[in-house]
Amino acid sequence: MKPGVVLAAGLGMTVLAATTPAGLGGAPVPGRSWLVWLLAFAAGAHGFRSGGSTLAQVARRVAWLLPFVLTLALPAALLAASGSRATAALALVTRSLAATVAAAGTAFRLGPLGLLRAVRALGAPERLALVLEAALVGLWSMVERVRAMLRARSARRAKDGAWDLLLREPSATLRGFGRFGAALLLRTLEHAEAQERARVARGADLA
Amino acid sequence: MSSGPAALSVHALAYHYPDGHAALRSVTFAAAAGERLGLLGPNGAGKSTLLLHLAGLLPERQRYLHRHDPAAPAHRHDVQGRVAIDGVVLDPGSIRTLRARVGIVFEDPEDQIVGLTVGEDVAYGPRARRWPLPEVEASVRDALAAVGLAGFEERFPHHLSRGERRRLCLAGALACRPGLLLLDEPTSGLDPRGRRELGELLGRLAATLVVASHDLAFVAELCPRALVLDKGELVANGATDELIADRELLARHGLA
Amino acid sequence: MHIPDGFLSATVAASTWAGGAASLAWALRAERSHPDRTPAGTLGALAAFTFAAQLVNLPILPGTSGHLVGGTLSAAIVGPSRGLLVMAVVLAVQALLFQDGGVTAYGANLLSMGAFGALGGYAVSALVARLWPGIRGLVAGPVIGAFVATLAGAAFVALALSASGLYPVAVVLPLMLSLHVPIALIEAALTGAILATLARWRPDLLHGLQRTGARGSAASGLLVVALAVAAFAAPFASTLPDGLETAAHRLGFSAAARPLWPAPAPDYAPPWLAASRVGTALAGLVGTLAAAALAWALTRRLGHAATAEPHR
Repeated sequence: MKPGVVLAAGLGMTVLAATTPAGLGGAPVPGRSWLVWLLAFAAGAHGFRSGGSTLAQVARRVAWLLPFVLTLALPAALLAASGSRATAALALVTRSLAATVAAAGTAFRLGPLGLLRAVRALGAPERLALVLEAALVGLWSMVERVRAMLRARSARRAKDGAWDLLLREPSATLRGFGRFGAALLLRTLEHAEAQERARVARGADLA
Repeated sequence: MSSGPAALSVHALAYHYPDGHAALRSVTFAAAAGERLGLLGPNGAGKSTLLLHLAGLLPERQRYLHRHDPAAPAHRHDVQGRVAIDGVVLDPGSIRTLRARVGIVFEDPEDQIVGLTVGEDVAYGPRARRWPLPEVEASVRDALAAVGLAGFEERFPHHLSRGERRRLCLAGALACRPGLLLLDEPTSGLDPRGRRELGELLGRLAATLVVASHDLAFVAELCPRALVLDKGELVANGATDELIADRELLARHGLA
Repeated sequence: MHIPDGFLSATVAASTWAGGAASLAWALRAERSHPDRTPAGTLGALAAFTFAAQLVNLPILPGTSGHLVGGTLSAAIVGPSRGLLVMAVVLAVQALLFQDGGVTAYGANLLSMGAFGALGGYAVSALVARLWPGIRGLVAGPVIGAFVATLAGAAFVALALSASGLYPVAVVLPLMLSLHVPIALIEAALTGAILATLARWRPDLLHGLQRTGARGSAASGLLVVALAVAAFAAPFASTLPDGLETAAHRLGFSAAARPLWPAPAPDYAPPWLAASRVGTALAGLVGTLAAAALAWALTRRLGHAATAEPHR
């Protein structure tokens, strides 16, 4: 299936799941909402499976969101009409997770290259697509670079962590972070300059 | 624009960086179509700078307003000397067309991998030239096969080994079917087998080659003729065997 | 804060998406007409950097850590329109590949962290830089800018969540603002720490703020500051929550989600609500003073030299 179609379908499912009524404002949760969310979970799970992921991995990908989702959902549910608070809480959490899984599964199935192609196919401005492409290309080496720099920092320090607690030693911590961040930024910009030269050498300004 | 190997001619090329550091001083040489030329010299000799000029990536800099000393007034000066490919002089009018004839492989693979997958990266050049899709696909396939990475199209570059990444960069340049191929330290970081395979690969190419390297043995095997550059000056130009046999020359210019 | 999917109503999601798309369209047009050309690769690299910088957690207290968002930082380096582009790509990657921020909430997140973060932060930075010339202003500006922009973004998120029918605005707005004062200070501190180091090593890179046309930005900066102040002062205007609820009703927001409790009558205010209003305003005031102190401290060691010329 063409990437543009996959993305459009996946995002459509996400939007539907995210905006289906969840029992706010005193209204009960309609039966169809649960059906929509079930479909969204299924669509997302299918996307993950076709990308080679197990259900346990899927669960891990969204589990970290749970505390945050609960923080947003529980107060909202508490303010719902009494008698339906538990249902409202469950509905809100389900709605959020279902929509997230649908979107995540779509993105996982497409992968970075598929996402890029899909975004272009759906008519995104070329400049935006080029920046997105460069960001995706740079992402992996960037994360590696950060990990390596953090490891080097930890290795040099006597204490456990790479940073002192900000509140205990604000000046030293900030200065360390500033140097780290600036060094990383400079290396990133220099690297980008070299890559731009390579692009020009291969004909970037011919296009 | 002809395809096939390109003839190269460089006359009195001089260049200094905006901070005033002179990188090249009146360099003159020529390479016939299909010739393989070695470029030897110690670090800082100006080899990389020369390659950047031949690739058409540097000449514009000198025309910018710049100053060598923060206190001095800004000035600009014309490019000194000239580079000609197939008899056409490199200037702002011809630079884009000529760049399309030249492929350059930089020393560090990380500096030149620009695609999300191996296939995307190699296809960058052909796509930039707006070749029809079947031709793009064919050139990618041929280039990957030439460097021994056939079938790698869907792989992620950051999953490749160091040697494989170097070959990917070479494939990216080859896919553009260059008449002139420039290589900056192509063997650095390669094991003996990698060096041998690279030498065989380059030996099979029809393009004109300029290979900048410290690796005397590699250059001796691949390139019948070589130049020696030191502190921006061309100090020797002759048969590679003879240059390498001249221990005094090598010692004088930091090559032995 | 990255809003996840499922908390914004359809109307709010659609209108914030429209707003986000409009701001992006503006940014693309604005940067296209800019005389300097910044390669897409550089902006992509900056996006990758911002993404990675957000991964670096700075421990504040045992168990709690903060991280940089980076909108004002990006704008200080590449200017406002490109800064917004960078944030748009960062947020898109986070939403799609890492589930940090929802897809339906992307518009709201872009407005909060991109429009307020990059554009609003830039505007305030330009204002401060005008009042504080030289290299110190180029760093102090983004420190204050990041502080104000984070709070303005938080206020926006509070309004969006409220308009979606989740919580009454009288509760969520002061709460979000108070919670975000320390977060805004962290953003200001981290932004300033990086820029102060950059100002020592490569002042020519801080060209985001060195452009001409900063006059218009400075005026916008005043507007952003005014908005932030209004957000803090709003709870005191007891008619305002009612006004907002009424406006929401008239605009059709509450058709999708009726208000969760009746808007307080103008002459009634529960005591804890009043206390939270004072608390919020106080937090805002203390936070602003702290941000100013931070700006001073971070730039203390920078020379008084005139703006560095771009190295050609």
